[in-house]
Amino acid sequence: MKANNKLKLTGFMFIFPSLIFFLVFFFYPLLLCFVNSVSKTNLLLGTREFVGAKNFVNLFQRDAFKSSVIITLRFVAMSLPVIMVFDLFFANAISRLNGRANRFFTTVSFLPFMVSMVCAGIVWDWLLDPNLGLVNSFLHFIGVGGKPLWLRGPKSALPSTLFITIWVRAPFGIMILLGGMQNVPKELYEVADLDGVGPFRRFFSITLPLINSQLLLVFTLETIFAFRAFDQIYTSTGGGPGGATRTLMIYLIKDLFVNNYGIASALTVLMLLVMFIVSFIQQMTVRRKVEY
Amino acid sequence: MVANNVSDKLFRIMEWVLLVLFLIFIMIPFIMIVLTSFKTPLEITDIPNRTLFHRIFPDSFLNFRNLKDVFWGTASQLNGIPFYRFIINSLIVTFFSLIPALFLGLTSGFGFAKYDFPGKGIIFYMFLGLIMVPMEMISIPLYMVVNKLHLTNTYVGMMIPGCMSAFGTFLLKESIENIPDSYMEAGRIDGASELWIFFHIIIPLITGPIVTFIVIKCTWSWNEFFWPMLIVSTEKMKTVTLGMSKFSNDLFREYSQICAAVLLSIIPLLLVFIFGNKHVKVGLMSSGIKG
Repeated sequence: MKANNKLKLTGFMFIFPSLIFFLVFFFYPLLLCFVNSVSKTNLLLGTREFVGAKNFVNLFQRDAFKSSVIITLRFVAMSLPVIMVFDLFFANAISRLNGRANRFFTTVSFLPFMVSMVCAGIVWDWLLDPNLGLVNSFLHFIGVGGKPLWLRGPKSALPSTLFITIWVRAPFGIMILLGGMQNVPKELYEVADLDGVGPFRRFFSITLPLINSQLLLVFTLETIFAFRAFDQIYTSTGGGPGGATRTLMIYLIKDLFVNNYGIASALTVLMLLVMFIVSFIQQMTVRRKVEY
Repeated sequence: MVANNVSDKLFRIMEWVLLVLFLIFIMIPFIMIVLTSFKTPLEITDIPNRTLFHRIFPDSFLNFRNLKDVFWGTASQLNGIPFYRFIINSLIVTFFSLIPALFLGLTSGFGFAKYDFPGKGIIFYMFLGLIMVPMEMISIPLYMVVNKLHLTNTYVGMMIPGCMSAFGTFLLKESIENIPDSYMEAGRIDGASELWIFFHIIIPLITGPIVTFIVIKCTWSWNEFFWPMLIVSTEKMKTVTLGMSKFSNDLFREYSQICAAVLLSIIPLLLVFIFGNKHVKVGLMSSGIKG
């Protein structure tokens, strides 16, 4: 009994450093954020007074907030289906390759993982430059005129940021999905081949149902990621032209954080809430799948 | 059966065409970074008058001026701050946040995997929340804490959020759980302390996952943009990602120098990757299985 208690204490001692660090640098700031969202805070003077829901009301009255909510939702709605189809298609295609080709494509698809969003944003900004960029040069070469403005056009800027997002995010999703596909028993595919099952049925009836936990993970992470898109947009368009790519995070940092800490905290709390709900729904879906 | 074979073949061909396009899509940015960094500013402004071949390839592959200008800080956008300064800053932050992250990841992973104590479940789920909540969300309030501690514009301040990684805790916990308890019992019977068991039995058995964690953690720290952007304002303390973004804030962009800077910022990670390539792939693939 005594030895058992000692082991309990030892176990706790191993976690203790992490727990302290967690409480001081993650949990306390989180609490602070909730407190700040209902107070008027002055960073320089260090004063704080309770103002209730005033920050939230103020936030909802701002037109820039409303427009950035719409832009963020549009970004999520655009990027999510594209990324999911992209990841699924190429993970499936790569998993069907054998030997050297498989290794080659796995390595290639993985390369952008090491490039930061910042670099990716800058490089794609160069490739998509309307006058000097490679993409328009190529379009000119094959005779497609019109010179799309890509990131510089108010209408095309938001869809154009998808190039950057997909390029950087694809490795992550493809790797996770590939990991799932490797675990699908080979015999299932062999039987399917004998029965003359086509590639589409093969994918939808065998692969997809067997990787749904990985699929859900990628789906959740990509949803949250799209929701908080920042780095790649900040470095490529900076929220422009004319606020066309001002997502919630860009709005939070560029407009609110600098001059209005209380409202910035209120927005943070709202975003946390949305992300929590998204994660929660995912957790519930996974649980239910396991139960059946 | 025959019709099925034909459609199967057609699908296979389509798949290969798309795979080649995928290859081009992934590789073009890398290729253009290298090619553009050899170009002169004049070659770039002259692009509309050139043929496609000359738009892509530089006139001379021996033009190292951009790389030199960026590295030594003589490029106009850098205001005399050499790029190697940013690289050193990033190396310091990456390395010194890796050590506590590894320490905290290993100890907490071990504690969660091999011991039972009251409150373990609650603490575990709190850590799990850390993965769910993106760092950016905590950054704003954390800024206040760091500001109060007068740690803005310091290495310590830049390292703080990177010193603990919930991902590390989970990855290492999963690997330690796979080690049979009998290994530990054997050590205990021989009179070894728990700490001795941790260092001499557990750690040598999970070197693979440790390398995976190191490589992924280095990549994340190196590429971190949001946090340093919030707390660093002194030019000399900026990291590579912040230094990069200096190039993108100008109305007129000197693309040849930008690409030289991107190239310089990727090289250190490339080295880490050549060594840890396999481990990262395995780590990412299995992280999905656990999720």
